Amino acid sequence: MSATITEPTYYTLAALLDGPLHGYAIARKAHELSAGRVRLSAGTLYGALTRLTERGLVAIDHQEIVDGRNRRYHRLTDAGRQTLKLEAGRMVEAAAIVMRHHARPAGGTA
Amino acid sequence: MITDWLLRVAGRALPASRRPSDGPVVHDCARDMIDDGHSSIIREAGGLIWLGLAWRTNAAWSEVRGGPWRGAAAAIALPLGLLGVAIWIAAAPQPVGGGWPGLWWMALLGGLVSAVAAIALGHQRTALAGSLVALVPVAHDLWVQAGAGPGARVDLPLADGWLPLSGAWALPGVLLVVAARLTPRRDLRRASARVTVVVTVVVLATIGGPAISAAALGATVVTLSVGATAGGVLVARAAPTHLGGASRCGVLVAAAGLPVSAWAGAVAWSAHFDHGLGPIGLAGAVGAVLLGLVGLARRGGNLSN
Repeated sequence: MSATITEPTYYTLAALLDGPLHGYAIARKAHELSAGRVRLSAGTLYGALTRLTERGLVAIDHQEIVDGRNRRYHRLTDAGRQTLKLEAGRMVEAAAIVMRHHARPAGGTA
Repeated sequence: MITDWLLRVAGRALPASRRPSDGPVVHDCARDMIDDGHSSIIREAGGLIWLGLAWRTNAAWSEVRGGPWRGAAAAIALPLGLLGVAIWIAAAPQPVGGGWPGLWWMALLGGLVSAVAAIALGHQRTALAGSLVALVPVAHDLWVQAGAGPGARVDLPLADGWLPLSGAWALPGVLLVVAARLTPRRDLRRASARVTVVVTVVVLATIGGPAISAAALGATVVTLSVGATAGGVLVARAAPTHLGGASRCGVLVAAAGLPVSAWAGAVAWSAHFDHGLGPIGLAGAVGAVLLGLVGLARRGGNLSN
């Protein structure tokens, strides 16, 4: 399951950890969290949100008009939170393998 | 101003069914990104077009995947089988009375007739067995044509041309096997009307088929194929339930169009197809399948938006 989460999707989910956000706020937060690596356009973001909603990882929280602009807020579901946690755990384990290898002295035999 | 206009034009890529609910939200989100310098107009317009294409593709795929294919396949079993019987009786090795009609032709026709009878009676296993037997000559023909086995390929004389067995019957034959597998079991008394139709078609084809002159047969085939195609399109357009009716009609038109177009091509061009599925038959078959899909798409709601 976790293997199907791409980096933009991961940061889209991560952006919602603190609570519901509207589209542009999600894109901005994903950009910040990824240190500028993930830059989502509105089309890409809403494509991802649609897929995540269909998979039950994200849900529409509410919609409102602010300064004449439509804003739809999405929130993380329990399943989304769980998936994100599993994916983060998987990445920690994957990173640990490489970090352990780098920590060993060069040419060492364990 | 230009930004709004460009985004609105790009937003036309979104399916009409989603435009009222999702269009303004995505448009305003794109506008926010451009205004804050987070993104460019071109990038956002491209993103909207991409999103529209993705949503349309998903909608089209779920329409096709969710179509009543099982019902459609079951509904075409009898017409398809009857069409096969009529074609292959008309394309009998000639002269039928005096000479050996050919083992493969007999296997094909025997399988088809038993499949059609079993479909009419609602006997699923016999229908499946008959349609599978009818596929054996097709498989043999393909095998020979591929250069993998000895023997002659099976081309049957039809009017002034030759009808390649595998080219004309491979796809409809496979479709008939699927349809036979799904044929509903029927009570014998209620099947009597179907049995009458089957017997009538077989008798008429046997009596009339080989005796018809080449010119008359060619004209009949072309007329029938054009008429069947036009009729299928008309029914598809008028289908009351948009997806169910269209799927059935689409499959029916495609299934009927395949052998009929190959047949019409062989007759109209009076040509011998040296390589099995000749270009005319292939073009006709592809055209018929496309026509069926268009019939499906036209009635599929989201597809045409």
